Amino acid sequence: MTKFINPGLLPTSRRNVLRGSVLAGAAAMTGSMVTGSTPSVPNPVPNPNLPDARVLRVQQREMERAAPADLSGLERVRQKMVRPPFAPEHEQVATGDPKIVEVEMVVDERLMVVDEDTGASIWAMTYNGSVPGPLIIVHQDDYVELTLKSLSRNQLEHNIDFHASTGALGGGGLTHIYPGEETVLRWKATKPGVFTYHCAPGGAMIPYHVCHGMNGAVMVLPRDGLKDGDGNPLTYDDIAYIGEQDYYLPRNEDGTFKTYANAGDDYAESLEAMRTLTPTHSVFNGSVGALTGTNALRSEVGKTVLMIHNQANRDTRPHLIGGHGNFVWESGSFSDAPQTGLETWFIRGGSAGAAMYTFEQPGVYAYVNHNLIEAAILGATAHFVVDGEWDNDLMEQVVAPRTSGA
Amino acid sequence: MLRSLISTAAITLALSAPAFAETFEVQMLNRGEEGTMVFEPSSLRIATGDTVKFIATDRGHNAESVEGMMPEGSEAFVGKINEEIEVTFDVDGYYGVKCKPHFAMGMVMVIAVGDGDAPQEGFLEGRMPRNAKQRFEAQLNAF
Ligand SMILES: [Cu+2]
Ligand SMILES: [Cu+2]
Repeated sequence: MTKFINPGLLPTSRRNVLRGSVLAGAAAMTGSMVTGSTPSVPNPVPNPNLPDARVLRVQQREMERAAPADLSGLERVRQKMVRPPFAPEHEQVATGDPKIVEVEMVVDERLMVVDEDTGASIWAMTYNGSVPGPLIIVHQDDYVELTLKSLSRNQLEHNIDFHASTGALGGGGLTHIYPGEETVLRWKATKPGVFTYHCAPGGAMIPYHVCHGMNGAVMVLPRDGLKDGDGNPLTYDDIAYIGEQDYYLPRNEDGTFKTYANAGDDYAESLEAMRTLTPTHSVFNGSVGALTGTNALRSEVGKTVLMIHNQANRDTRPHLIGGHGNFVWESGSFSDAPQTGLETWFIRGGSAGAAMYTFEQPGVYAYVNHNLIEAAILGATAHFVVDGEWDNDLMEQVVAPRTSGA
Repeated sequence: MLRSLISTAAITLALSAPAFAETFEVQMLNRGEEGTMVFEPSSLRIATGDTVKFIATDRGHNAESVEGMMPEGSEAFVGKINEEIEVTFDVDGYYGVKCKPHFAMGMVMVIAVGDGDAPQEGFLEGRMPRNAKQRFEAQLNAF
């Protein structure tokens, strides 16, 4: 009998030997070989109760058995992804028949500054290097054909779950890739609306990846474009694509934020921070100030903007200070008539929503999460700077602030 | 594995095992001699019936068997994150073990049970992250 112990191995006490063996014997009675304990470690994380490998093999067999999809005659187009807050080139009303829309996303783990003032940073997990990931736009009945690649220098496993898709955990079950790998997934956009997508590698890694920025949105337009409640067409001049991201950054004892050498190194401490359900930051487009000041969104009086708001993890309540939501699909579904004339709308965690507004006054508008603590202290603020002429009928400063004598 | 044993056999084992079975401890670490995210030791040879206890020295790790990297007739095991599981190995052969969240970072180890001087056929053939494969290769060479 060979017993080999590496030099670094802890000495094994006689007590351990006995305990291990007795446990093994007891376990044998119940048929289980594994015993677990977490004596010195707080907060064990439960394993997800996913079906075992046999069930997954059944799905695999059914996929192999399935008749091939008939894609004959479908035109292929390539959609070039662009960085948020911008939207890819697209038609609002589809011309021609459904198409196969090819998109490419590259998983890129990169160190990003969350807040310059405090030095808070995160090894963000991104699709195409941005938080949120790029906006994909197709029409109902189009096919999205995604090539998902992971850079060789990445550290972790990733995949993608499209809420707009049908089957295999939103594609999550078919797209797990390791650094240096790629995969291609095709899915049909059957439901019109705006939808979240996000990474979902399994168990606690799901919120870990999602709360490191690994999420974004797909917009599936009705083939004949957006409509109001009476069926009249609605069009927009611009899209503002806003991804709200809650971060849970681990802190040092003195309250400063921890820094890490590598993606993945913050796993245990991130899990502890996430367990509080209290984000250290809630920001638009990856970092504090990403859409304010010189980075503000721009528009003009008379122009219509479609604001797409994605929040893959946590409820939020967008509000345009100084303006409104003229037409709002707050649940994201374009199958439903939009709500009209809203002050604040609700985006459920794990969804995207859309709000349309036509600017009527020039100046600065703040677009915020109207939990104002999150807007002002955690970072959830964007600005629109709007050019054009002032309308005194809508608002006029009748008396400038002056001493009242009261 | 032991599932196939009837209870009398299990009792016999429980009574007789302390005479020779041993428990080995493997630490789950954020940083060790092989780099970041490691099991230590990462190559471990044990005798049939010995137990390995995975120690959560650092948090955020787990220990679980790698599909396709276990001898025929053995059972898969999965520890929770931060859980210190003890696994008894009754089937001879080579076992690949991984930490699920850090598999792609190469947090793996090899446990050789019994005297076999080479892993079973196809041990390294499955799809796995590059970092994991490199470390598995080094760990096999260390035996
Ligand atoms: Cu991911
Ligand atoms: Cu680990």
